[in-house]
Amino acid sequence: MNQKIICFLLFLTVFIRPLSVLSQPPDDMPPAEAVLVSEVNSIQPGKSFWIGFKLVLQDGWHTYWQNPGDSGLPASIEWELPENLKAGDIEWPYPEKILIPPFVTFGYEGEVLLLVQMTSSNLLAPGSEQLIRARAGWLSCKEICVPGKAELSLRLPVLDSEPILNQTEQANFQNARKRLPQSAPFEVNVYQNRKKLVLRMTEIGPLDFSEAEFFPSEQGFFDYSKPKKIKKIEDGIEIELHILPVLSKPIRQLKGVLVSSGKAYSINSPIKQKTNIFQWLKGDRK
Amino acid sequence: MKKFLFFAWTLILLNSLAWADATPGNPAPDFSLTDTNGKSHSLSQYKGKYVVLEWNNPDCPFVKKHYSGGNMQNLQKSAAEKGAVWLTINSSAPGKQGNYSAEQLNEMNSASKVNSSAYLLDSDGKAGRAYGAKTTPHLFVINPEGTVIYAGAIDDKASTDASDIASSKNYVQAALEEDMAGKDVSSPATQSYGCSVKY
Repeated sequence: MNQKIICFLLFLTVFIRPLSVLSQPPDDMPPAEAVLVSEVNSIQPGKSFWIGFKLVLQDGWHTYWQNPGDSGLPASIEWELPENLKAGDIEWPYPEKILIPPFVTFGYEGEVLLLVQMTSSNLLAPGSEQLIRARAGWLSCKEICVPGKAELSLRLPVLDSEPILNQTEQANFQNARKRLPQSAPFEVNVYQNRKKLVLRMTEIGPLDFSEAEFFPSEQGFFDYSKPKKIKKIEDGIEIELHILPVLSKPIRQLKGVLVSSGKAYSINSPIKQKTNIFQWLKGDRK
Repeated sequence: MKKFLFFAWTLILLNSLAWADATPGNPAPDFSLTDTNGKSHSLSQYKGKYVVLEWNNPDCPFVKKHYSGGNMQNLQKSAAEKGAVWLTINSSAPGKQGNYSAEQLNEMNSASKVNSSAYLLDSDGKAGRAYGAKTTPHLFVINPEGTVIYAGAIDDKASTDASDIASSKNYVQAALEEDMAGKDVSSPATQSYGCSVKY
């Protein structure tokens, strides 16, 4: 009898411990692990290549897109590069909405690869080795937020031949690039209707936008917590965005990313004011 | 019909409870909150004085950025010297990060030499929601007439890095100084940055 109880208790400890480990990573386990990875194992002089800043997040944690939404902070990278290499800006795979009621933030869970295109000059000497260094900062949040910081580096040889691909990372780069916004193959018009901004897409062809999501590139313009409204119109759709009652600066141009069916399209469109009949009669016909 | 009416009323009620906002140029919402010493404070009792409201969660890295090197404490002191009342408000709900007992907060505040006039407890988030406080820190400046003259970030460098403070423009100080000098506040609304308020 006693043995049975002891067995049962032992059985419990086996299950309870891993559970508590899962729900509460130990203090020395950071919420995110950062690495610098390259799509190539060698550089060819004069050819550009992709570098990635990879964040691997613990379960339940997230980090942020270029516009974090209601709170948070995007990652930043400061490069320290050899003379003949130049880094482009961070290219952000499209994010997902992360709800922290009553707030809405934009970011990534699991793993994310932020892409940076490197250009190399013709003057790179074959046979040399190039040291790419980055000081990165990012914020990981769950219920709470923990800033992360790392000095990362990567060494790549210069070879006078086609770059050798990094087999272990290639698929990750391809997947991240698929999440980068492409130019929109449809007509975009944006106009303001009182406290709403209407994003109108026409000539959309077979594209399905019924589940589309718009992520503005800049913070502080829209109330994301209000329900999204997507309206079908002839040959397209309209998405309504709720403008915040207080703006730190006027919105003149709508910039952002429209995500639908796993594809992202970049939107960069001036905002037209709806001209009313009186302005039109006064000759303000634009 | 009865059901519909009930539903409609609920909606109306919910709407009015949802995000109000302390918009610059508008009257600041009044509140009545208890501080860590058990004293009650309302906004209306400070009519005739400048009031700064600072949303706080002592465990948020963005808040730590401004307290670790004394930036916030200096700002609180300089506001007091100008005759302004500085109210630090904690809207962390019970069980959430930053929710501490009054005694614990008093201890923490004296250890970090907080200079605010009072540290107010808003664990039900009522005042925070009335102001539309989204982040910690999130700051509001109210003029002696009770009008919001500033709402937003503490400064123009969104980061958790204290070394950024020296090169930042402090919006709160600017708003106080400009308004006191009879000038227009040059940036009355900015995008606040920080951790989300733990409602």
